[in-house]
Amino acid sequence: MEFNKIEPIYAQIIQDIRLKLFNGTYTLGQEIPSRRELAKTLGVNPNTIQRAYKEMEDMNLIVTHRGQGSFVTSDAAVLAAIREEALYEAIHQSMELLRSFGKSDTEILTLIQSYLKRGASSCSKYLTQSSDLVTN
Amino acid sequence: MTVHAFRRLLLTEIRNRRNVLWILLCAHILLNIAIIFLTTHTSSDQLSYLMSLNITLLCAMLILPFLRSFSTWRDEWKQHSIYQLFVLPVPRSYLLITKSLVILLEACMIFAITAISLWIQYKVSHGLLFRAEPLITIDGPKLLFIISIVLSAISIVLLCAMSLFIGQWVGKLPLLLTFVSFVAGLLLWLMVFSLFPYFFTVLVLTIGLGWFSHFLLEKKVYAE
Amino acid sequence: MLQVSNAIKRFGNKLALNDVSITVEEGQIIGLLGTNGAGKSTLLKAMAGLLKLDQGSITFDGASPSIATRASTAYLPDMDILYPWMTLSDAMKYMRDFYWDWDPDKTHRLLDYFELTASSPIRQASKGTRAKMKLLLTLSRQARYILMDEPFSGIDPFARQQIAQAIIDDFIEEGQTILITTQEITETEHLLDEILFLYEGRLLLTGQVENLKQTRNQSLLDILKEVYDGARL
Repeated sequence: MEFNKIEPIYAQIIQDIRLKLFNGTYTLGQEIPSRRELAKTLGVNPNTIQRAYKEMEDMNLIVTHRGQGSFVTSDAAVLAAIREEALYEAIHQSMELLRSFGKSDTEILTLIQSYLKRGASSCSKYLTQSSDLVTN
Repeated sequence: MTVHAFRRLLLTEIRNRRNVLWILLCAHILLNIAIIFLTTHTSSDQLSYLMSLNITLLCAMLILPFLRSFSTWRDEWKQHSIYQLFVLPVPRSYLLITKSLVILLEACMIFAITAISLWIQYKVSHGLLFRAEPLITIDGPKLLFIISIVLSAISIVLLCAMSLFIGQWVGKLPLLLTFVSFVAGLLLWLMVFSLFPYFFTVLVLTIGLGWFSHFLLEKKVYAE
Repeated sequence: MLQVSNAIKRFGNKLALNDVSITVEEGQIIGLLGTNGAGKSTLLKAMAGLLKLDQGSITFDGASPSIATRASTAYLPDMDILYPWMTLSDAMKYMRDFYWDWDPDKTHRLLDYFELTASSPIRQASKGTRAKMKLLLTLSRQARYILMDEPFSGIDPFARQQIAQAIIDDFIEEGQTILITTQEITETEHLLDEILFLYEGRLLLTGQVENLKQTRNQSLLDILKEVYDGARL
């Protein structure tokens, strides 16, 4: 796992676990590496890993049973919340991008509707058209 | 643990000096063999110069442990191993004692070789080279005298260490300071002894030098 | 807990340490960062008992430096301080006689991990190999405090990675307190809990690495550059 230099490492670790849960790499209730194992594998200060795990436990993202190890939560509601958050984040990013093209929210809604009506086949033609609109 | 530590310091110090020691002792033995050879081929009326030769050789050889008294410490600073010594969990007195012990050991070995050589020369010259009787008969005053010689040797070693520490402590012009404090110390030693020429004086002076060297090493001298 | 209080140290006219006060909590890896001549090595040497402070004090768990504190402190300087004739096994025998916390199992594990030959002379080895050998001698003990002066300086990235991993592995096991001075900020920041940033003998910045990044949203190097530029004005 590569770390960027700007965000705190513990935050990046939490993000990584959330991503793995989201994309199915980890299933609900699956065991994850212990703090020590993760610190060794990543070559990162174990105190940082400790902080990440503590926060994830507080967020109910993971559960640690003494003597047994650390596990992803079995609570499906948590996974649903993560999914919802991920989807909203994707929509948010697209919206920000479209708004930066100068479109109002109502215009954006209309554009999305016409996009969906046309379907995927005419997708590329539409995109070429809209990028012409942008450059003009 | 402290016995192990002391032993290790001693062994390390010997290892530090090992190569030079071998050469030194071999040279001394060879030169003595040469003198023995000379003794066998000298007629009895010309033996007197041989004693001077023996004494000269002994003094010349003893210069080497004398110089070592300075270099054993100076080398530690030069090759930065003083850091290692100061960081070790041993009392600084161990450092002083082990280094001094090895130098004295070196001097003893030189003496021993000379003694054996003289004994051989005595036999070869059929007892004519020197009078053996005074050397063999040991009584009270003679014993004290021998001990005084040993103590004086210890004094010199400690004096060298002390003057080197003074040079290191002050920091500026260390070599000059070492030389000056050595000469000053030596003169002071001789002056005190000439005023009070007793065994007790030698004992006190030696102990004093030991205390002062240890004090400097403990409190005043640092790795830099 | 290691405490430095109002440390001042002069070398001639130069003020190497200018009223530096530090509290080092146990079980942390602390990075002592700064430019060349900022006072990092000087501070470490003072902690190791190789220098005397002109003013101020250093205490280990409240006690002044003594033989006992030296017995539980390991100092790894950037220069070579062992005798030139020593091989790695000579050095190991040497250390074993002085330190009661010497751990032969660790020694074997580290010999394997670093792929070192015990019979090779230390001074003749390449820089990277020498660094590994010295680290082996330091980590083969169970010292409570480890003081490392530029352990990564001049080492190739592959050896550096091995050394960093060895330090982390040992820290995971032992949980000691480690102080590292280094110039390689970006290459070592993931090891550090806390940093102490020195400039011209003064402590400009101290803090937990993760917290600093969180509040300032910058890389550690950029944070330090800002502080450095601010100080130079």
